[in-house]
Amino acid sequence: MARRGHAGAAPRPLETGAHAATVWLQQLINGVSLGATYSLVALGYTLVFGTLGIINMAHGEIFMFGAFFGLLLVETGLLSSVGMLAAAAGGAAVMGLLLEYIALRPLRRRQGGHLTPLISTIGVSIFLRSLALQLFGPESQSFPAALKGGSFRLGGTVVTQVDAVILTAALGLMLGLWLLLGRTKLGKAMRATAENQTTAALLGVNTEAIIALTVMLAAALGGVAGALVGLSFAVSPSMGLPYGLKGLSIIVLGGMGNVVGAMVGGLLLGFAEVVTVQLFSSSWRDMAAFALLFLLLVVKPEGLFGRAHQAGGKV
Amino acid sequence: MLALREVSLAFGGLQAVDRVDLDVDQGEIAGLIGPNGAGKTTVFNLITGIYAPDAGTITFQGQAIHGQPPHRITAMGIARTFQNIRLFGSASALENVMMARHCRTRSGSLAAIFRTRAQQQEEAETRARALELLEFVELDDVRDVRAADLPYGRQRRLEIARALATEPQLILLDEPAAGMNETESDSLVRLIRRIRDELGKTVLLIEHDMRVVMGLCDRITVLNFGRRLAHGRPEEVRRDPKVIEAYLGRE
Amino acid sequence: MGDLLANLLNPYNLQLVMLIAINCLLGLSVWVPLSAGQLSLGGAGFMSVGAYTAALLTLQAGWSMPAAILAGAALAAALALLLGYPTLRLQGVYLAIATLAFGEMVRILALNLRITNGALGLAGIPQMVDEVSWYLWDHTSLGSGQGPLDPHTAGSLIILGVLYVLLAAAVYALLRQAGSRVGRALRAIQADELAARAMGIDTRYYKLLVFTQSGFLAGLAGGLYAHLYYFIGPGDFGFTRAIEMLLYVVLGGMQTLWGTLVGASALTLLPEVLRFSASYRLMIYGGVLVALMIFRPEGLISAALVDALSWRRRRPARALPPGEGAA
Repeated sequence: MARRGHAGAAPRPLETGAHAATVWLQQLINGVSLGATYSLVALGYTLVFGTLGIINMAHGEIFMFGAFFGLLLVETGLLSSVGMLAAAAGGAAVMGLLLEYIALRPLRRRQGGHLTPLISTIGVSIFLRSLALQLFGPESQSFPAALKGGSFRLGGTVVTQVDAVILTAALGLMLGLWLLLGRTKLGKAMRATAENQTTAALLGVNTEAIIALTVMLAAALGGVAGALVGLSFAVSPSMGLPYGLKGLSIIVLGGMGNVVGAMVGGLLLGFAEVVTVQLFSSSWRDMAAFALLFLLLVVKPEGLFGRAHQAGGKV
Repeated sequence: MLALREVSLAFGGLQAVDRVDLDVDQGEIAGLIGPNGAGKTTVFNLITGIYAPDAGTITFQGQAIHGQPPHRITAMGIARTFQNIRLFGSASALENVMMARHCRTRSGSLAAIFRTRAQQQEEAETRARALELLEFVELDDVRDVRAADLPYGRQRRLEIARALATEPQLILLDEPAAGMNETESDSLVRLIRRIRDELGKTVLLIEHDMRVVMGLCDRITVLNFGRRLAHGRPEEVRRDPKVIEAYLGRE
Repeated sequence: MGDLLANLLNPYNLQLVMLIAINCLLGLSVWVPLSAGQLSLGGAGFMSVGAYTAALLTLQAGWSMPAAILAGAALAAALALLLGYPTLRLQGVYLAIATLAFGEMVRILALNLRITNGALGLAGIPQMVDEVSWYLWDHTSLGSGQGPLDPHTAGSLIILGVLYVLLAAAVYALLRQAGSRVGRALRAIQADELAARAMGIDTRYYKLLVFTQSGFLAGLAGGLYAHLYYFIGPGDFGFTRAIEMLLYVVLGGMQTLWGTLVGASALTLLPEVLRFSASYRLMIYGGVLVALMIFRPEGLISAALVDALSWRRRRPARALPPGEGAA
């Protein structure tokens, strides 16, 4: 991560305290911005796990395609952040729908072992990554600078326009999801389906439709996250894997299937990473997620916000 | 033989078992009854070490067993069946029983890899003992059938054979007659008597079928809302007004 | 005829056949814990530990290859035992993700430590085949070009034989274990952990046992892998490797150990078979996985299939005799 604010400036001794405070404030902003995208990725995993009890291993690749959908739209000349994110969300949602129809629903009909959806989504992820390589080539691509905009100073720290877009979009989507699940009839149906499909069906919920919708919503959130990450770093077919793995760590941190846990867990990881970079070096950044996860699992296997009975299913 | 003293266990705010006393004497068939949710199965789970009690003591043949892990309690001589049958479904009937010989046998991986004489002999004994037990519960004709494919009544008998394979002194049966018709439960009553009379085991059973309980048990303990409501011989319990009110009165 | 033989025995083919044996060992390292119901995705990490340990011992400490490879496997096994302890109470998906995290931690360590030479990896690892070839060159008539084979081909065949003897030993040991008291305990834990405990099985002990065995097998495969190739790097032992190892087992069929062997062989060869369509190879591969899960979720080799093919007429667990409907 290159955005480290005042890396080169050697402070005068008297200002050290104030300078350190500014550095940490800068890292706080970076952490929130990074963590918010992690939260979005993790929400996609957790929605699908909460409803179907499976881990969608293709989520990282849908995330990556979201970034490309956004990029493709911008390349038509439409320099709009909102349009770009909408394209990412829409394209990813369609991919989610295809995933549900091709790789998930047929398995539910057959009722194979507990590992089958895991393998089937791994198959989809291998397919999608290779498809992206064919379509877009292996190189990293960037969003045009015109879309990224500049940066502004805020109390000694630098906030880029990209940061602002990420924070607005990510926090806005999380709030929207929160309202959708908590306040709407659709959200109630989704929660009922996640709680118990049979009961939900008996209560008149069209559970198959709700499942399809949940998978689409999860994919859309992943797609937006991909576009945001692409906006602040770069877009490439290999970008899905590391974010996918971190997303997995976060849902375990936050408790499998727990929506609030995914949001908080993502922000937590964002902070943990910027702190790791600040204290050690950027090459240890990726260790933060896995070390944190490993420690937590050993100390509190049900996750930070999980209930004790969430045993995680049987293999 | 088995003694529970003031045993308590709570789940969250729910007091599932509340200062329960329970005694089982060597050689008797004891019954544990009570309305649904009275905490009967929880008592079984406490005795077999699946839960550790919050308070109180459980002793078996003079040794405190509360807080011990389940496999050690089984090795000490307490075996059980489950209310919702928990057989190893994809394994054959014979293999199910052989699996339970585990704590009475010793051979490890290396012995198996090098086919030591002791291991071969132990394997043959395991098989012979398992076949004997299948015969005892009258399942020798289906020994190669997958446990999950057996009819319900026979699955219950297979679970009993599996529990007996651990060579217990005390066997706990959790609703052994559940879902059985009259003929089946009559033959089950005969089987439980034979377990005591021929094999010399002590039996503690949970049962809703009053015909089975009253006909079989020497002593009965009644639980209600996690507490011991009454205990005594079947005719005493049957006449106890508290029991009639809480339990029998509803039927 | 001679040309055909020489063609078949070209170095590339020989190395591919050797790689199959190593991948079979990797597959078994996933199958063993899975046979007790434990899904571990840490195999790539243990493979990495075995590979780096063995390679460093031969490269820098001057150990002999067999000793170094065994030491790597032993260290991986010890580490697996250590990792097993805190993860014992984790179940299902939690265990899978925790072990996955362990694998990533090993990879990041290898990427950052000086002794593993970071992202550059270790190069110049002595190769098993070379070692044997040189010996043949110096000490036999093959060196003078008089034998039917050149020393390198002969050396390759010998190492190939050694690898398959190792694999056969592992398969034999696991089959014996599966047919014993230990195997019954593992199957009981897989079927119903709580019932297994109630039947007197110490589930913690057996989980640690399968973990340790799994670590040993992966570490062994890692050490062999390092000395089959000239170079190892952190990228060889990442998430992709962990997933590949799982695929061997699931694709081949996890009900029996034979499925793993078939799965590992098939997936090692599949990329070769699909080489005519290099650019679509992975897409076909992914599609095959999805299709297989839809149409044959038990994997290519099911227990029923093994029983049907079994030459010893064991009596398989059969369905109910006619006239006795399940209630």
